[in-house]
Amino acid sequence: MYRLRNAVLLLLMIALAMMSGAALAQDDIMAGKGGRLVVADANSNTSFDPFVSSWHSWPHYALYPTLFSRALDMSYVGYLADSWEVSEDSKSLTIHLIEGATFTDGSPIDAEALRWNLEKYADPESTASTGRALITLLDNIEVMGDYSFTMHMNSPHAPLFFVLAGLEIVSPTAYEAIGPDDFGTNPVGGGPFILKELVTDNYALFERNPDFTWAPPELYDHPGPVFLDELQILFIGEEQTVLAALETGEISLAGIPTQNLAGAEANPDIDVHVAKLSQIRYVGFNTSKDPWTNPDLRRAFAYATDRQEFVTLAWDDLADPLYQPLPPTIWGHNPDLNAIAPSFDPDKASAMLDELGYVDVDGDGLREDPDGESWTVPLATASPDEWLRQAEVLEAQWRAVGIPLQIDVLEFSALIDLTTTGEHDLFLLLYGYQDPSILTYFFDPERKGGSNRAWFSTDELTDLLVAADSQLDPDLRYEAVTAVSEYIIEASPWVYLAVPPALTGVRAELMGWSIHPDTSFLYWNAYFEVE
Amino acid sequence: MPSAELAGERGRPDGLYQLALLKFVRNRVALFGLFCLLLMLLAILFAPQVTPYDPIGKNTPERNLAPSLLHPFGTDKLGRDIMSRVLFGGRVSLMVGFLSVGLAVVISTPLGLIAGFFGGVADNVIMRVMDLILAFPGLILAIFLVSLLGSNITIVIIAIAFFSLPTFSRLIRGITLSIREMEYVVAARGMGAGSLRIMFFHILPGVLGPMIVLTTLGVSGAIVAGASLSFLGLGVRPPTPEWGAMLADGRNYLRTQWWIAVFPGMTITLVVLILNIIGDALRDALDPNVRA
Amino acid sequence: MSQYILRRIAIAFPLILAVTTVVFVMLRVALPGDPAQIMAGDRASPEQIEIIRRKLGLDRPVIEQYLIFLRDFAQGDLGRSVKFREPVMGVIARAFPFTATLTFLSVTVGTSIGLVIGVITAVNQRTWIDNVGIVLTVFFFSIPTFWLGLMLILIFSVGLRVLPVQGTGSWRHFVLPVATLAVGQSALIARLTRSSMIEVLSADYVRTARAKGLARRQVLVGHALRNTLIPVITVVGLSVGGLLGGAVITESIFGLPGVGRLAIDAISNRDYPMIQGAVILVAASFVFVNLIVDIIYAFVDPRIRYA
Repeated sequence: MYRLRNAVLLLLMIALAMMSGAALAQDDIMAGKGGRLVVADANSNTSFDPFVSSWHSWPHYALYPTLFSRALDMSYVGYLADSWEVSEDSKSLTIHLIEGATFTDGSPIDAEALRWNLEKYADPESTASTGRALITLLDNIEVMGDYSFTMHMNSPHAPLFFVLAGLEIVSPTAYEAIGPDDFGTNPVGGGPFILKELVTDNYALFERNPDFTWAPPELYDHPGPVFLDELQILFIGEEQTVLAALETGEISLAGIPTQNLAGAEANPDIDVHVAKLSQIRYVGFNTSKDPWTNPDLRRAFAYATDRQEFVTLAWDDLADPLYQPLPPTIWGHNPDLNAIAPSFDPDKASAMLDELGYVDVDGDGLREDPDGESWTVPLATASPDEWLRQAEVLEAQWRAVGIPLQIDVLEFSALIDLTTTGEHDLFLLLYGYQDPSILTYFFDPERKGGSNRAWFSTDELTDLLVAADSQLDPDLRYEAVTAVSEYIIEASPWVYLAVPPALTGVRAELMGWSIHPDTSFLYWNAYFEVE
Repeated sequence: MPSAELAGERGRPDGLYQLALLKFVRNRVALFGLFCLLLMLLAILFAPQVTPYDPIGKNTPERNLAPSLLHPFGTDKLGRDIMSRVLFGGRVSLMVGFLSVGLAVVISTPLGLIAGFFGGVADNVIMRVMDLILAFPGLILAIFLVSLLGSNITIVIIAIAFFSLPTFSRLIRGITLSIREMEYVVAARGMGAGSLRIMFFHILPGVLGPMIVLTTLGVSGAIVAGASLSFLGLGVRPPTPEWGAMLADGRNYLRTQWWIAVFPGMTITLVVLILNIIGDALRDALDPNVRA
Repeated sequence: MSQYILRRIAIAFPLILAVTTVVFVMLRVALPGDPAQIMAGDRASPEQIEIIRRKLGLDRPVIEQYLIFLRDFAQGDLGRSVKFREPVMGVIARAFPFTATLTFLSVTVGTSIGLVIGVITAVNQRTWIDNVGIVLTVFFFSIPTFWLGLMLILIFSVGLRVLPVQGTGSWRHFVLPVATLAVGQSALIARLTRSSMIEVLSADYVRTARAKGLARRQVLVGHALRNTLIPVITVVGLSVGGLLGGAVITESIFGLPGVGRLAIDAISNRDYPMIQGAVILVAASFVFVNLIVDIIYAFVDPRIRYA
């Protein structure tokens, strides 16, 4: 497969060099296709320097290629990597790169360039969150030839391909010439687009990279550069404004708020794609603080939560109820685990709370604490409407079994800060990821005060997580991940709530687009019909 | 209310306040406004008796209902009756409106009086501090307060009061400046009256009229400001209903469930209108140049 | 007069410095969260957050950070934005024209309309014109900007398709945001003009002027309006100052990349240098506008002298 790709590429290059029929064929494919794709992003730009910050937005990959990509069946396929071998002990990965790919400054995408990039990601001083796994993982890189190199790792790492598929590869010569201060605004990559204009906090405009011919064939239905002439990202946050701009055609692609789904579907100018995000919404307990140290109390909250009603009231029935730490949209989710997970049972919740001493002494319908004193359960949540709505539903559901919830609305940064202090109680949050190794970040004893916001870890869980992350065999890894999920469900540091929907609205004039199972928008084959 | 004796000492007709009352009572529009306001306050005060619905409980089968006889203002996405939420929300919104302005008046009146009456260093210090507050980005302070102390009604009241201080102090200072030079004050000083005495018995009553107008306008401004703070996520603790928060939340449903935002919005407009009419009438009543 | 202006400018510097200092300390000492935590992302360990904190210089004592900030500020350097990784000065310089245009247009339009309505209602006090005026102005005064903005978008952009929803680039992009802000501004000015005008009209010197037989229009323009303007100018000055610092809601609804939106974004990202830059700009524009207002006073009201 990959050899074949090289051959096609080589043929194409020869053909192009000879200015013969192939160039004409290319023109034929491109004829009548082009236009500017305008999308909205609620978060304004950060630095385009991937070693400084990770812009959590799919258009970032417009600028930079990656070693691997994920095909539509979610398997890993080569992008810059042409073929690869994993060593017996699973600690070395040899990668042969496709030949002939270049950065937009003309320098070759070769083994030396990859070594420079990977070593930079593995630098402990790197501030980007993508690729951080390499810091402890990567031992050294051995360059075997112009286009092949071997990564030597300290231990086997199951999510390695996931990590490498996320690392954006920049031009080392350009980076060193421009310098780290200005590379973020003058980025040089080798992806399908080139940055044309960046107006910070306003928009970023990209133009087609005419030399780009190395996209993975699994995701790309034609050789040669993308059809779109330009890609523009507007930084607008207000969702109703974005929706209005989609209706007038100022924006070609936007997320649709749940309550506006029916209206958008009825609009002939807009095609709507409905899927689920690889994200979850959950309530976490600070398990290091009394009384949340008691797993029975935490489980009582899980029994008091009606997920079916939750997705109806908070998500207009468009989200899926969730009973375990991994959603069906992340590999490793095991539907069989729902049977052992606490589901809505108000009588059981009441009985458990009674048993623990939380009884309604004064008859106001709300329980008092075991000492008979007034009880409040503080739930910290962020201020945007989505969060308030979910918190209100929880408050109403839990009040029905006598839990006196107090919603503390915080600004998002303050909420994150609060969870790192260890002085918080309950918190309503989300995570979004594409690999089950995410759970390691949330239940790592080293990350209390960081991403372990539930302050939950046990030696047993740590062992299970290590086992899951170092098992490369997919079937065995699935079992290991299931064991992790099972343990977390039993310990109940979180109450899992919902898998939110991804509602994408696309202008009907845009052709050839598709939505990847990971809910990213595939624009490589997309085009508008132009004269 | 100052006694007739004080009014007499000020050299104004004894019946000033009686006259004002008479003028106010003769203003039919204002009387009707006052009647509406009282009616509204009663409904809000006796909300549990007026409405059979729980303003914060969920009701899944009855969610997102358009206005009907059972739910005159419709229901929201949790199935809560909007009219109940508007009535209960009035307690919070009016409290925010009146308390924040009250707090601002209590603090800014002495500051404005001192600045205007004494001038010089006191004036400079007070007004420069007010400049500082004005020059300070209000938004940053509001977010700062909320991040630090959490979002609750007390913080909202304090935040709104704080930002009203410069406007109120400036206005009172301006009026004080003009009254200070009036003949009756100059005369009182000539007769040996002390500064405090002059401030309280001669200048303060003169400030009262404009203050009432400012207060009624300020209360409406504070209710509207509360709505804007909710837009930025800085409001009262949910699920407590509050007009501004209901309006801010309702903007997402303008196209699909218009009633979620329209009814709280109309209520705010109505209250602001009534307060303005009453304020205007009070100003006219207290202005000796306007005849009854 | 020029001496007065010089003195006012001299006072401005300590004022701006004071505001900046307060914000500087508040951000670092009291406000929970810091840029390192946000940059580190949602999977970071405490050590990684600490590394970023060190790289940003946030591990140093606050007083040392402050001295570094002062040194750079004295050289006209506001530092680099943590989020955008660009010099703060450049980002603000690009955002400010949008905010300034929006402010200038909406205050001008709003004040003009407000003045006309105010004068008309005052002259026709207690007639149906006045009553309609009160109801309308109060109605527009009590509509929150976010609501009005969305309604205008739905009517003029989505419904009639005559104006763009968002963005910049032509005068048409400014019509709806300016209208959104001008409506509230005109209502405020109309109320103020009306009450101020009524007071002035009943004042002795106006009665005297009328008694002397001056024409009604002459009295209105020559005497009444001039004195009515004084409180109006104060409020216009306050509005300009306020809008320059934060027409946040209007900017975010119409996707206008102005200073207010920039500031809000900077706060939620705890982008300290950017917040400081925005604060300095807001304070400076407030001082500047205030100065202009005071100079206008001198022209309108000859009684005001500057000693």
